[in-house]
Amino acid sequence: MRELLIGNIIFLGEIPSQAGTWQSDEETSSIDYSVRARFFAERLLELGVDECTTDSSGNPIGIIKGSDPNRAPILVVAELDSLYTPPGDIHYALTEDSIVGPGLMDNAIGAAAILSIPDILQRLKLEFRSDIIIAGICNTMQDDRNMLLYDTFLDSLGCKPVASIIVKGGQLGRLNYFSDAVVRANVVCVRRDEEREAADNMIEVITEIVSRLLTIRTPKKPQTALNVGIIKAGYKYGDPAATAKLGLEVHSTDNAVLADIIRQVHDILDLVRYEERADISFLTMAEMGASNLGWNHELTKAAIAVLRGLALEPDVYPSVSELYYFLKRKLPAVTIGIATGYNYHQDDTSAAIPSVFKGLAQLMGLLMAIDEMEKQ
Amino acid sequence: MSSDQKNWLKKRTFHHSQFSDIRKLVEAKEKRSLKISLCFPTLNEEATIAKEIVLMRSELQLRHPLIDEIVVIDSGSKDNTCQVARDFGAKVYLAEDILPALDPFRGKGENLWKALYVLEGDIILYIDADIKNIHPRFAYGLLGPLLMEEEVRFVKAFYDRPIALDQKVVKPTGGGRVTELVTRPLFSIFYPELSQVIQPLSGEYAAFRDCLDCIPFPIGYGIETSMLMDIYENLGMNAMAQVDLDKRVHRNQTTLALGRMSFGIIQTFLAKLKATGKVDLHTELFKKMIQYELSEGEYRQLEHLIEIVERPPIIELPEYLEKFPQRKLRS
Repeated sequence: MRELLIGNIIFLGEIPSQAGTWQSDEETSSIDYSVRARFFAERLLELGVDECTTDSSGNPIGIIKGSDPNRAPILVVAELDSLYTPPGDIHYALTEDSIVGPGLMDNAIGAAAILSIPDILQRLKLEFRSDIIIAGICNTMQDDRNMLLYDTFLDSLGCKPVASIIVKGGQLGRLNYFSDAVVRANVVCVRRDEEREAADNMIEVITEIVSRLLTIRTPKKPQTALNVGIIKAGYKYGDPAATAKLGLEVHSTDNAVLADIIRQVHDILDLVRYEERADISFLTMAEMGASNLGWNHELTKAAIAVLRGLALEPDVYPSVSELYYFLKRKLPAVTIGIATGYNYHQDDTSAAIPSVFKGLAQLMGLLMAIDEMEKQ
Repeated sequence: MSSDQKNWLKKRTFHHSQFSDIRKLVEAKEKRSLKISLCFPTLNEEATIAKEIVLMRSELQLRHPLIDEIVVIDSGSKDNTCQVARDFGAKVYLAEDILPALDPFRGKGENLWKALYVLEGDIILYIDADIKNIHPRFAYGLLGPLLMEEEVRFVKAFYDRPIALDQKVVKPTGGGRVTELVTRPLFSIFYPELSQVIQPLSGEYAAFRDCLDCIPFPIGYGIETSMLMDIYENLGMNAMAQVDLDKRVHRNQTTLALGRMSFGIIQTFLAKLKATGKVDLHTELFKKMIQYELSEGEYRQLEHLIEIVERPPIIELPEYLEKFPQRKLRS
């Protein structure tokens, strides 16, 4: 299995993941497929899953039939994209004990792990009572509104899984069974060219906004944080910037606290808008609420037991991404990591190969534990 | 060249995608009861060998049983090449341990020649071990014409060869200087048909065993040129094919290194011309490549002794015939 898994990781990581890199054969298709999604679907077919399809968003989905048609399916999902994609071709390097290359942890390893499930079941002659649905989710990292694609995917799923496992490249040992309330937003400043007293340089305006955002008090209880993660502005050294964009994230374990912080952000933007005479807009990219599967849920218990069975200390922390879309639909779900990795989102992202096999054992162990749960 | 000969380029030039249905290749192989061996000649290739072996094993052994064995023939790497190759499932041989009664030489040609003794396959596939963008197409692309075209006995790769200038910049058509400045002009003068081979110096090729075991192997730079000339003399153009494998990312070499390579190729070429009676040489050929480099404001002369050492056709070796007695009957 080692060569097959590593092969999948290298193929998935080196194949372009951007939407539009592969054109559908169907003339009527309006979906921007990626070559990586195409590869994922072809490999599922090649591995002989019982059903293979793509949904309305172009997400490749494979179904391995279980022995009991009355049981609800188990859903296993992974993002197919790479969050960090350098220009030019990508070539992974492989040494005795590590794989190196951009996009490895986010999320070539996660995608390769779920793509290896049909192989593992065939080679180990494992049979499940429940159907297993394997889905690669496309374009989740290529667009500001990426998280909403999970909403679309779950809307079109057409069945209610007994449990879902969200598979990430790293870190091995992570366990997310609850999510923070999160707002991700872009603040866009545009110069008013026709107004005489208007601010000239939007970098100065965005700096003013950042300074004021930093005055917002975020409580430790309930745990809350505000982070400015992206600033983009200007084109030339000698010209004042006509536009500027700021990306911020606020998250909290409490929905009300989050709402209060967002209200303060809006107040600051209003103030700067009038004082600096700039057009300032607040565009919500993702909005997720605090939700919790619960420590005592049997899926959480099973995930903890599998980690401990592999001598891994569970690293429990809140999810700030797709888990919420499952939990808000009352779909039991957890997020797990496959490998121990380093230098995320860089050219030399690396992962320790032995950890990948432990991560894969964790995934298979959790699948088996879910399949043995009586309550279906 | 006759029009038939000119047609070779059209008739015998393929693209790897024509053979991407690996199941068909496996069927053709099994129907003809053939065994296929993949050989990586190595010298200090720990940075790339693991990936080459893993991708070939996963796609062309474990998923599709196209390749029967993967073998590394090493020239004495100082790094971890042999251990890494073994760890990922290749059979590893030190070139000097093969046919130990013979005086050992160091060079890629030596590894390729000795590989014929240890490999079991009816078809031998050679792939260089320094390819960063290795992909199964390097193997199935080369094997395709041998398995699907009855008359083809030898297949050569060609590429758009970008050179990795650094980690981020790739210069798209920078490769092949020795080909365009040395080999193709020589082919054009003496073997115009062979000038249709787009990259005669590419390090990836596949052939039926009987095509390779009856030709001599220079151990150094001239191996690719010599092999083409000999196979052409023995079997003609129709037994040869070439396959476009798209892009190959490899290490760049200095102009001085390419100069020495050119010297070796010209040496081999002249020796071959003399042996075939195509030219008479009435002068001694010097064996030192003389080059100059500017060092601290002065030109410094560099001399490299480059000798032609050639292994005879391996079919002439009793040990070989003992291991492959069926070749004796045919020879």
